[in-house]
Amino acid sequence: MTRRHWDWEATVVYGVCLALNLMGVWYVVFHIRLFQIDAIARTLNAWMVFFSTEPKLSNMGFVWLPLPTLLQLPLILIPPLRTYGLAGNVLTALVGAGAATILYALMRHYGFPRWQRILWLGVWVLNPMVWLYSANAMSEIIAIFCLLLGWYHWDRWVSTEDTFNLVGMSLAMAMWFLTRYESLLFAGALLVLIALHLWRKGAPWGQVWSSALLYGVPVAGTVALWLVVNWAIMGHPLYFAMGSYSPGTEAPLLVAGDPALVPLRSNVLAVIRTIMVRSWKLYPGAGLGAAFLIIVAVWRRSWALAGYLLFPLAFLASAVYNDLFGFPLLSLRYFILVIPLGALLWVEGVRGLKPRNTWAALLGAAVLAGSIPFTAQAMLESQKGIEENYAINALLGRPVPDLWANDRLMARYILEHAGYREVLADPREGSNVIFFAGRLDRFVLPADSDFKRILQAPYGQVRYILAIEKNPELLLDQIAETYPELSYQDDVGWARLVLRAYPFRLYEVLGDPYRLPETPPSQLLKPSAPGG
Amino acid sequence: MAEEVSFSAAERTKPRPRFGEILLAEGLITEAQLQEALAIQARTGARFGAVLVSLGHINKLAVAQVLARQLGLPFRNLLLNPPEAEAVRLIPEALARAAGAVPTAVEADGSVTVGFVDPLDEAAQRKVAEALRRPIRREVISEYDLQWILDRVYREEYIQRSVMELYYRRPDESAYVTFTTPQLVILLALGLAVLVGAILRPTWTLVIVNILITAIYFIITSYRAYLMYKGLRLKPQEALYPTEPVEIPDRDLPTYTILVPLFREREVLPTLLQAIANLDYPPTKLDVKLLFEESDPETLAAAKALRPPGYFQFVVVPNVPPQTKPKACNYGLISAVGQYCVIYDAEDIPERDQLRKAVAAFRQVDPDVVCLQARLNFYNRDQNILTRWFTSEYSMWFDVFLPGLNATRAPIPLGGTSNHFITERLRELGAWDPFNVTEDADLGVRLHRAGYRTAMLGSTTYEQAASTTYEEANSQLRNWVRQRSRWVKGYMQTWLVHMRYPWRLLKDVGVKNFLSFHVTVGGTPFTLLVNPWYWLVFLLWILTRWDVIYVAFPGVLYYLSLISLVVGNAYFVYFNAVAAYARGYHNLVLYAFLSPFYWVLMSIGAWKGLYQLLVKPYYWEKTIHGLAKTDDLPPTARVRR
Repeated sequence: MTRRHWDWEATVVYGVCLALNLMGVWYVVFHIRLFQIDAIARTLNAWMVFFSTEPKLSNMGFVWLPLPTLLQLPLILIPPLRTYGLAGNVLTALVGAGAATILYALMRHYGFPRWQRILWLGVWVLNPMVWLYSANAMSEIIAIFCLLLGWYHWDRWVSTEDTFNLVGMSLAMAMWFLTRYESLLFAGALLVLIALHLWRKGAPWGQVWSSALLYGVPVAGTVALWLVVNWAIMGHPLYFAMGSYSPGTEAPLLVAGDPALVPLRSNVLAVIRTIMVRSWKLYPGAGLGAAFLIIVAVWRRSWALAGYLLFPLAFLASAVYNDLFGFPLLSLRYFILVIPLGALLWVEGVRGLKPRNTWAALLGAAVLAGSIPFTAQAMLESQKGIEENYAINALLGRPVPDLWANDRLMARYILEHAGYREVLADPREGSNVIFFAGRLDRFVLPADSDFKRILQAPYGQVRYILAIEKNPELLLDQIAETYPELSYQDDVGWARLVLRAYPFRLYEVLGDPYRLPETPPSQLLKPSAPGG
Repeated sequence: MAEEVSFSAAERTKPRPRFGEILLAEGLITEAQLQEALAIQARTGARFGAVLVSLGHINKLAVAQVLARQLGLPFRNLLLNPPEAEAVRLIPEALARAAGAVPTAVEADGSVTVGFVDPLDEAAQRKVAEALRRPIRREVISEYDLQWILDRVYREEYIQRSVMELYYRRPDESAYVTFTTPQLVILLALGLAVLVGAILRPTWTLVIVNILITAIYFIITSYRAYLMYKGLRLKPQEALYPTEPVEIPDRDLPTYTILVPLFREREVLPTLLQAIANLDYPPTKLDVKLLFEESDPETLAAAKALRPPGYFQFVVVPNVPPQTKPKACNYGLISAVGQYCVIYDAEDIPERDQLRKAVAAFRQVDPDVVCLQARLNFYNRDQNILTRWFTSEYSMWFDVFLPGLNATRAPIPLGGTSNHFITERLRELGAWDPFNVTEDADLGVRLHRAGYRTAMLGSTTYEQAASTTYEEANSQLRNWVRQRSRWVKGYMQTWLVHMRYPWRLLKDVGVKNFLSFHVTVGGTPFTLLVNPWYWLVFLLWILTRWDVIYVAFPGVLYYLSLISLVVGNAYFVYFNAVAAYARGYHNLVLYAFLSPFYWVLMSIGAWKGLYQLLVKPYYWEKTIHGLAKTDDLPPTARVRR
């Protein structure tokens, strides 16, 4: 028996990409100190699983899908990765390197020469959105990884029909569902492609449906598992969608907060136009890739190549669905999938040319490289204060504000003044403060079994309450729901504002909010003075 | 009067009538048969007489008689004129068998008359003469007669060898004793500790027992999940068998022994004979031994009535306890002449090229590989839901799990049939343990401990190298439970045998394989036995949220249990479906997803097996074959009745 052959080429690619991503992590965390609020919350959740006053797995929360948090669990156990939320950043670096390696492996599978693979890989890793999301602890890169993994297995399965690749596709889609909901449309697209592929080659009906079953069951099972876990732990199978912190609950509030979004929610054409324009502005390589693939597919009369267009259509459908019924597309990051889709469409288009054309490969690389300035420009044009805008300005050497100065100020105050479980807080809005404080034991949080009791009668139970200074009707924070006055009123009688660091307000609890005025009943019943 | 032996050149070159010409002249064969046999002889290099026997044109007796006439030697029919046992014992049994010779009489002049199957084999004659240290006279006997007289004279020795050899040679490796005294003491002490704990500190005891079981379960689940992944994702270097079929000229193929233990198998005999006749292997190089039980004359009579070709040899296994398949195999192995040997069950239908692939594989694998396990599957998979489940389980076990085990170079618990061995290595190991009811699994571990290895003959990833033997899936529930109880009992026996001296086992196989042994051999009955308990607890938790359950599963234990239950079970269900799909059994995929119901049956079998281990450890729960419909048989195996 010969010794096992190690894929050194893939290892080197992964290692180089990981090194680049880790440099990105260093730049993001220590140089420009960019912390994205969703990333902070996920890392905090992972942290709470092990280190809160009541360690339990359900601390990972049911607001976001669980995979990004679950993957952080082993990393959070490594002490250096606990500081600054590095566990999340390192996770994205690892996964981002994996995504790059899969793209490289896919090109190798299709026989692209090494220099072309390296060229395309360079174009991939240099894209500022890819770079940022491979370092910033967000979930987008995990979704990209799953898309690439599913696509890679699909490409291999089409040529080999190896069961492993069918399973690989299925698991990639299942993992993607545990990361982002829009995966289901891509999973559906892949299911259609599998069935079409088998039908076209004249496979028996039994093979078609058993392939669909083998592919579909893990995805469906993952959805079912998520519903069951929600039901078993939170009491409702749709808690993640309808619960108090869910996107479904939050979406109307966001729309209410931005009237410009309202027309989009009822006009499909307007939504499609908006999505297309935003996608084009972020990454024209995707649209051009789709056009190139259509040309190649028509020229080669290849339905198989044309089938790949189902993926961008799935993206479009998911974006339209989100805009019409759910979460409006506010941020640039909702469009990030057009970047891998663009690269993949170009790969398929180029390999569809037989014999594969070096000029076409160079054209693809040029288009993808030419899309990078568009991405940078889109980041610059994104909403001020939003992370993409912040990151690209920092990269371009422009001065950027310290976005989290107040969060850190509040955290520092709490560390200096509060003792064990003396601050009542809700990480829905206050996650940054808890994150920067780095001491979970100072807080009473919704994950604690006594949170609700203390929320109703904080006096004598906690010393401080952390509130948020925003319109309480737009907040999903339990403290804001219970004590809306803390969002805008400095002195509420039973609590005194001790520190205001926008948007945070820290109150010292002085009394019981629900107790009647301390007037002796005898005084209330005292008859008026005679003759008065 | 026998002819005194001489080894002169004149003797060798003396002009004689040709063997085929005599047969033709005596009308024993036709011209066409002669030409057919000559063509085969040219291709295979086999003896002409053996070719004719393999073709069924004449029998072994006729070959011996004609040979005697050709050489001018006397012929002796040992059945009609049996020699004295003392004469037979003049040379060692091993020499008699190797030389194809048996002393038949001591003459007055001091010389010994020796019957030879092949009187032209000078090397054999020299060895016999050296052993006797007396002049010898030759006569011709038939191969069948030789076997018959040796069986008769050495019956007691053969019984001892087939039943007690392993026990005498390596008592620590025999399941003759189920529980050793230290094992009994440990088991009783553990039981007592749990009992006392349950009385004094019930909660603590419950939690501690739960922790132990859950931890073991979690390790087993994780390791199996890893092996299944490996099995589905084998790299060529891990395959250990040729990735392309190797064309070996018939002339270069070695003799292959096929052992087929038979007990009450009349119904499947025609199919069996047809399946072996279909093998793509020169019949002249096959040494097929049908092993009949003395207590089952009906099967023997049925086989005789079918009049199989001459390369099928009937061996009657003496009726002494234990009446087990391994004992019959040991008995058959005594007379095996093949360089390689393989076990097939009565209802087996091996793929035609299996023996050739095995030979090719043996020539390419590392020298420490002494056994090749072919894949097993079922031909009657669509008979009912039980056979469908059984098939998806087998597909997972033989196509995915065992190749995964193979890739990690861990001990492989052999499946019941289609184990191909290097015959000499098998004898060296002491062959099968007749007291172990899963002697195959035990042998897989023993050969690993002896420094050898088993490799899989093909996997899902490398179909072109794979070979499958199709069996009959148990289609009746009671019959199925009996079979499963025996398997689980055998796994427990095997675990107990090899855990008599755990430290020694650890030294023999190393840490990794030590753990693998526990997971594969010990873990199989363990999981089947504890599963019902945990399913019940889960059901209770869902329905009642009973406080005791929360107490029993504190902290991390809760998560481990949940992962094992939800993720682990989902994984195994899915891999059952994957294995069925990979085999092309697309209609079984849906049934594989329902396999948790099948696991309930497996647990019932396991508990029955545990009970039997305690009350009748050697009892062989006979699986009834012949329940499959004829339509289920592959077309090549169907026999016109």
